[in-house]
Amino acid sequence: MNTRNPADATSAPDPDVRKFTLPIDPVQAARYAYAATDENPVYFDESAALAAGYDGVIAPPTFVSSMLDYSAGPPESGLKPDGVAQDCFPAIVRPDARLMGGGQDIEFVKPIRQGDVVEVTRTVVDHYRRPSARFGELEFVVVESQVVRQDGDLVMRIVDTLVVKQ
Amino acid sequence: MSGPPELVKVATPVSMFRFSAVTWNAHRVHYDEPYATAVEGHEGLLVQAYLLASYLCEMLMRWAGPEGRVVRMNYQVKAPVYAGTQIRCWGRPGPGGQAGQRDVVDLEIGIHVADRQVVHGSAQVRLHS
Repeated sequence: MNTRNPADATSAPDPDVRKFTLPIDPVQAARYAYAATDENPVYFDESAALAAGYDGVIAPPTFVSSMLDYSAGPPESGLKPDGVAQDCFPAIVRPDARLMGGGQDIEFVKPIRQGDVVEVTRTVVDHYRRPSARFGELEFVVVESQVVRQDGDLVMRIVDTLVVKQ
Repeated sequence: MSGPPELVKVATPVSMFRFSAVTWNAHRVHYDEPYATAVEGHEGLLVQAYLLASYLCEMLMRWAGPEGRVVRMNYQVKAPVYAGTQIRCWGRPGPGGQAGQRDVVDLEIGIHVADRQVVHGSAQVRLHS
C-alpha cells in the first residue's frame, strides 16, 4: 500500500495498519551496537550471551524500535527534500510535515536473537493537537507496533509518539 | 536502593551517521549540518531520539547486570540534543519503588545536557532473571 493521498485512503483496506517483515541480521545488529557505542558482549559473543541466560546472541533491545523504516524504502528520487521517505510514516502524516521523535513506550517482552525473523504490525492508535510554548500548535500521531517472532510469540510492543511541526 | 550510575555519552557525527545508516534514517537533520541549521533552524546536527533511547537502555542494561533484564522503558524528548554535546543519562528509584513483581524495580530516568533536562521517562528493570 503505497498511496499517501488522503483522497485515496477510503479505497484502501485500512491505511493505518501495515505489516513488515524484518530479519534480525547479525551484521546489522552488531553494526547497530557499534553505532550506539555499546559493546556489551551479549550482542557479539555467543558464550557471553549464554552465560547471561539468553538462548543465543541477542540484538540490542532497542534495535527493532529504532528503525525509522522497516522497508527498503523508495529510491533516492522518491525521498522528500528533507531526506525522509514519506511512505515510512502513517497515511495521516501530511507529506509536507516536519517530524520529530517525541518519545516511545517500549515493552521488552522477550529478547530478540540475532537470526530471528520478526513481523512488525504498525497501527495508528491516536491523533491529536496540543499547543506548545516552543513551536506553537503541534500535532501528535501515536503509532503502536507489535513485534512477533517467527514462532508466533510477541517479543516487543512499541508505542511511538511522532510530533508534527506545523 | 540507589539507581544506575550516570552514563555519559557524546554523539559524534560519525556515530550519528552510522546510526542513521543502520536504522535507514535518511533525515538530513542528522548528517547535513547546513540543512539542519539553515532550513530546519537547529543549532547543529540533531541527535536521533532513538540513539538517546539506546543510551538510556545501555545504562539500564549495565545496571541490571548480565542476567538482569530491561522490562519496559518509556521516555519523552523535551528538547533537541545536538552532536558533540555531553549527554548525561541518569536513573533513580521511582516513586513506585518495587513494581509489584519480585526483583522488578521502577526507575525514573532522564537525560541532561549541561543543566537542562532534555529527556524524561521511566523504566522497569528486573535485576535477576
